[in-house]
Amino acid sequence: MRKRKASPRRAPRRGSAPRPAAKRQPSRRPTDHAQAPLPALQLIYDTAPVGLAFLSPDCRYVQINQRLTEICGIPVADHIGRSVRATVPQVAEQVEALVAAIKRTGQPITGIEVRGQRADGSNADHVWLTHWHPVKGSRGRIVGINVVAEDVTARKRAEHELVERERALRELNETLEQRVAAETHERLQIWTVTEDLLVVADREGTILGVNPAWTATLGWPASELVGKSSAWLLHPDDRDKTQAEQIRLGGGRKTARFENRLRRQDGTYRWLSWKAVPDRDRIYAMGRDVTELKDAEQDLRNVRRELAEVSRRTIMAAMTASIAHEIKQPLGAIVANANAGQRWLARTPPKHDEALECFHDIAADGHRASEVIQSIRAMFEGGEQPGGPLDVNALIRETVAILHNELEAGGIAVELDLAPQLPPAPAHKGQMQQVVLNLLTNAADAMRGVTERRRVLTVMSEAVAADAIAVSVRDAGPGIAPQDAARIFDAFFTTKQHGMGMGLAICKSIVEAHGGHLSVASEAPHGATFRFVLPGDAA
Amino acid sequence: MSVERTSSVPRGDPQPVVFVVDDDESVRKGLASLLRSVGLRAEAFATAGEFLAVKLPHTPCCLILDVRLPGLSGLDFQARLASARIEIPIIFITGHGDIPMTVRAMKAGAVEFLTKPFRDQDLLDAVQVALERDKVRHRSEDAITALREKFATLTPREQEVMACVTGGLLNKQVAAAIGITENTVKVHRGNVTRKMGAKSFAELVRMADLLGVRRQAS
Repeated sequence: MRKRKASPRRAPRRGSAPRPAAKRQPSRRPTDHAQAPLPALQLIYDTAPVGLAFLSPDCRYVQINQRLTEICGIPVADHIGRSVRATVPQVAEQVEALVAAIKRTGQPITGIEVRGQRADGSNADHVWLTHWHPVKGSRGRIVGINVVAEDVTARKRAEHELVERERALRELNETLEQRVAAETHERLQIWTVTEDLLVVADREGTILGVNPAWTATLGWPASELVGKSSAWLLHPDDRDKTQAEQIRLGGGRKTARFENRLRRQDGTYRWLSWKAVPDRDRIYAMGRDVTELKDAEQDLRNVRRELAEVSRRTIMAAMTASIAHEIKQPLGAIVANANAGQRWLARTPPKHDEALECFHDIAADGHRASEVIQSIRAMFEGGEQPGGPLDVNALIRETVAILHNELEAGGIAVELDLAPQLPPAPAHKGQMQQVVLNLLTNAADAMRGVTERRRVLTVMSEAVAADAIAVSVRDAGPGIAPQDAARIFDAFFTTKQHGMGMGLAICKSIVEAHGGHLSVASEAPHGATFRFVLPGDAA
Repeated sequence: MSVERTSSVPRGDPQPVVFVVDDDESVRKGLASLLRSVGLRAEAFATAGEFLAVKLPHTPCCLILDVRLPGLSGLDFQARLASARIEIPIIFITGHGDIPMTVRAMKAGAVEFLTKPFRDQDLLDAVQVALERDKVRHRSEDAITALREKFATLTPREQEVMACVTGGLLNKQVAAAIGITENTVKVHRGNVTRKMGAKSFAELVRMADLLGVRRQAS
């Protein structure tokens, strides 16, 4: 829009330009008429960043500079001698009123805003700040009006924007205040209504504020709590650890979970579980009353301890019974044979052959008793020592042979399906025999009531991955009720009328001590399979 | 010393039998040897089933039974024998007995409950008691058998009269009840006493008791 270069020296010559008596540049104009205008002065006039014009008292342009013509877009030359009304009709009324006022008063009028427009309306937004000075002739008669017009559009816009911005800011401030007030209210609600103990303290642990939950939980009014540390409330046993925790917190570390007891006003203690965060010079902490939970935990611990004790005693009793029975069997035979031997020899005549047989049996049973003790010791020597390489197939055959009588008495047929190339297992023979024996006995027991089908007990061995071997014992019994499956390996769980519920629990612990696994599955249409896997040397 | 005691078994009686049921072969063998060494006849079995397969002889016998048997416990076996009316005195032996087990066995009629290893004299004493008990049982069974045989020789009318008089009815009441004369009742009564071999009316009443034929006065 701005045309800087356009300032031809086209000084208006036409029209009767009155002699301006003003002190400033325009005042030179009349002189220009009289004498040749100074070229420098003309240049200033043409290039001044403010609009300049000299109006005759009848509102005709005597002189106008480039800058001012920007209002109407009409060239400088076309202004000269023409009336304001003819060139810029939109402002004519305002200009004419101003000129009339100056003529009347002889006083300058300054600081008038004029909204400039072009005929095509393209500069509708421009605002000019104008100053009107009368130029008086020698006799004090007004010969013209000098007009200075400054384009303040940008300034006005900036001012406007500033006002707008301030208004927006004010509004923002006002809503912010409301929002902050609302949020503060909500936060305060949390602080007030929560049952958790909230506390703000300084880094030394001096309480700066507590929420109402403190009074609700502990009975102490806030006034008794604030301004000092909580040390006086602490259970004597918790003092040291609480102090240590506070030091940690003071050092800038969070407390994720910390429990201590605080004294109530009535002298009892409440268990509190704390979370705390240090932030700058403050510590923010939240404590939850977990007294009921702790009591319940304690009760549970007591029950567990009692149960463990009962279990221990029952296991001991069961073990003792089992050991006693195992040892007293040969001892009973020894004593009976010794007595019999004495009686055979005391007869007349003595029966030496009978007595000899008694002595022979005494010796055999003595060895047997010793073996029993040996195997008990092996049983107790723990699973750490894996024992030598064990031929599991041989073990199965041997164990089936031991149970031969019992199985036959129960009308049970044994089918062996043993893998021919079974790698030896690094397992303890005595312990594994106990497992196999137990599984076979269980299988036999399970089939006791079976009458409608063959009582078949299948023992299978197989090599599985990585040197491991698996042994399965399958029966044709009623299977395992789904509700029992989960507990079947638990100690003291039994479905037998006179069972101890120890067998499978012991089996499981032995297999697991060997790094193996014992599982059970029900078979369709009937029966159950107990299967254990023993890892090989590779494992 | 116990040899003397065992010899107190009358020679004339058929030889008593002591049965042993224990799954432990050594125990079985040792017990059998001990029993034989004092002149008793012993028969040993590994399982209850094997024992049941044997027909019990008509002589005093007893059973030495291990409480812990494979398959069926000794106590359950005792109950099964009782329900089958096999009344053989039982001596329990066990490797490890507890009080409830002992009480249960004794309540069910066991002669003795011995824990291994036991003193031989305790066992032999128990065997003696058991055989004696069985002998008495045999005797009373024999006596009842004899009574039944005698009772069978009575005519139906005589049996009726015996039932009535031992039940406490007077002769004339009996006559009225059966519909015969009082004199006829007296004749029948004389025949009954003679045929039954009763030495007194009291003995006749006892006989009727054992036979279970006393008619209770209405």
